[in-house]
Amino acid sequence: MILSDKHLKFREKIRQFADEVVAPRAIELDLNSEFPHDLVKKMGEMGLYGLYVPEKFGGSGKDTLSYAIAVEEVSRACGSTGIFLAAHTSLAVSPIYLAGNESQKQKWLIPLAKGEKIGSFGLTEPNAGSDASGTRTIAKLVNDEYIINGDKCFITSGHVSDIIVITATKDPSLGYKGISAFVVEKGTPGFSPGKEEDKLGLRGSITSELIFEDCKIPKENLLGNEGDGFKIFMQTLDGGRISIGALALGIAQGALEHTIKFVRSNTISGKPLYKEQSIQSKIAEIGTEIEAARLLIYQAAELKDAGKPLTKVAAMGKYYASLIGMKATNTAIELHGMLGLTKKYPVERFIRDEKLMEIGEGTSEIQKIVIAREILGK
Amino acid sequence: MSLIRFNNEQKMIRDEFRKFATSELEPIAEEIEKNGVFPKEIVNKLSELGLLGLIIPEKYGGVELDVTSLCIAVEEISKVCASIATILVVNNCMVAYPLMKYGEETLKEKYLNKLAEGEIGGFICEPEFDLSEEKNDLKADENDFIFSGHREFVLNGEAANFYLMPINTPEYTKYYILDNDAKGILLSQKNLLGMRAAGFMNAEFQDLKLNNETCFITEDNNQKIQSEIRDYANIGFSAISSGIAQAALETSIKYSKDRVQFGRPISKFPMIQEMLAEMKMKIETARLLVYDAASKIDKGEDFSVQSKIARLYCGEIGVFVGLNAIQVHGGYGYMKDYPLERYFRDAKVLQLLEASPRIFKSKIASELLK
Repeated sequence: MILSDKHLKFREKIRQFADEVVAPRAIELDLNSEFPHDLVKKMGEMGLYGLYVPEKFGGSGKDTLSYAIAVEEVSRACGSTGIFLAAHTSLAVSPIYLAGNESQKQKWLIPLAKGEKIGSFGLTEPNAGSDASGTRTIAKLVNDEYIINGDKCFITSGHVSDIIVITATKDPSLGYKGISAFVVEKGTPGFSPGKEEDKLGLRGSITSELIFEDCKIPKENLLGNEGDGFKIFMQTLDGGRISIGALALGIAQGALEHTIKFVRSNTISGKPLYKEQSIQSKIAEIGTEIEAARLLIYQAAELKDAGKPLTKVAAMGKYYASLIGMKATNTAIELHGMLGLTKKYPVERFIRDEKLMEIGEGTSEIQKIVIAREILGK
Repeated sequence: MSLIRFNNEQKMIRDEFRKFATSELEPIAEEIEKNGVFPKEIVNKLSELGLLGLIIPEKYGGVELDVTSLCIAVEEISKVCASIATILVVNNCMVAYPLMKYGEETLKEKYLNKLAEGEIGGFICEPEFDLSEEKNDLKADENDFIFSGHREFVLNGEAANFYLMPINTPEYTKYYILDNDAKGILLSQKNLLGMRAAGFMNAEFQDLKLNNETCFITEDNNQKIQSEIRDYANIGFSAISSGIAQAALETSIKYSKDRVQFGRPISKFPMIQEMLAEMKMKIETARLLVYDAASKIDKGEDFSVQSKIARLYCGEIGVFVGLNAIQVHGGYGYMKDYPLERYFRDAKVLQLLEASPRIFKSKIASELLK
């Protein structure tokens, strides 16, 4: 696939932003577990949160391919900033854009797409990880309000979110059929963010519990109809896979570039490292795999833009990019030798950040199940 | 019957260390790694028990165990705290061993006794690459060398009473012993991916006098001695990788039985079972390699290839098992509330610590192609 001039120009712009503004912040965000309020604001001003959202809803009216490129380029500099962009867009902007009615879009989509408000998505629960049908958070309709009770966990940006899309069930015994999607706003009585997680990587991003105790929301906060929750989150996750794939790809690309720089500028017993065949061989391997992953992810983005089925390719893109991303970051450390273990070089951060891509928004095992179902039929 | 057969004494050592690891190390392992603190008190306890000089001959006050026993001890400790196991391996394999094998009697008497009494020996690693931005300077005086420059890794650096510092050039190898109060050494704490409680330091040297009186090994044809010392340590380090992997597997087995998704424990899913089986397969292979290499030393056979194979393989599978153990745990594996991410980080450090997989492979190949 060959990118259009329009996309190439867009990529250039984001790459410059990533190199000049994001990359210098990446080290301290990781070291201090600092949430990048400044970068979050900046990305909003650049219109990165609504790349595939029409302008009338606060977006920039571009396409999913542009979005994948943006996530890739930002993550190439900083995985934490990349996951914020990916989660905010794919998991909060998207479901409201997909399933919201006109007034919901006016109320929530516009500020989210413009970056005036921060969004997140509450699907995972302590006992409902890969198996979302195990959702135990209850939403009970009483008069004109839903009363929400339950706990969500591992929610990206949970603590700092203004607008949270959550799933909850009318009755856990109904499985998927009982699940609906709702919007909860920050400050709603009965809703509080719980514990903040301390993680292996993506330490500049926030991961938290969300706790709902008799949290009352207006019945207008229901997205779609009752029981649409499963459909909404499946569609949301289809799109989400493109962004997590792009994130994995960006981190892998970052690791490759830093490694190229290292082997080009240093020597061993007088010989430049990049002239060693064993090193060339590794660079060739990861370089090839990164290109292949990029094709899958861009393909998934183009399918989405064309309104065609994307489940298979999106799952393949996420599965493959995170798989080769782990190999690329692992190899990057190895080519730096012991120095790759230190904070002087970013490659140890890259592998810590990359590991989440095999887990978040559907583990690689779940992706394989999805892919197999698409290939083999049900 | 397993190829790995421990005698009664070795079984006793295993049980003793297992008990020590569970009762003394388990309660602190998470915390010391998190805070990056060298576990001084525990190390003192280890030294009181004589564990820092496990392989040192009795005549120098040591316990004089064989390498198989050392590996048994190291494996047991690594299952709980790889940082502490590293301290032990550095002390025994990287400091005591070269002294035992190549030191002159006066040096042996002085320094081996110190180690056996519980002093800690540090090891100043030679740089792996010539970094473009770094300049090291070695000047010859009449009897001594004067060194100014930088060393990225000092193993056991934080608490060492003295250090071993190899200086390798194509013409010669020299191992200097430096006291920790020697003039011209400035150490600073390292912030590493893993092994954060092992006390690794960064060193800057300013006009450091390298005294020929505390130097041994002055000639080394084709860096044979240096290679041999590394190979010896490789076995100790491979036992750590194996220990970490075992801990990661144990934790994963337990979790997969407890964690219910889709109406059953995830241990019932073939994909999880395959991951566990693969982890086990690799660990079993790794252990065979560790104890095969160790027995070669104990029997006085050539161990250069076996130890490199053991180190390469164990290093690799330590990382593989660590990452897969995180994967079995899903989101929980990524969080610091669980020990999996620590196992992975430690395993990754260990794979590359004083080791270059690339060089090992080329050395194994040249052995094959001889």
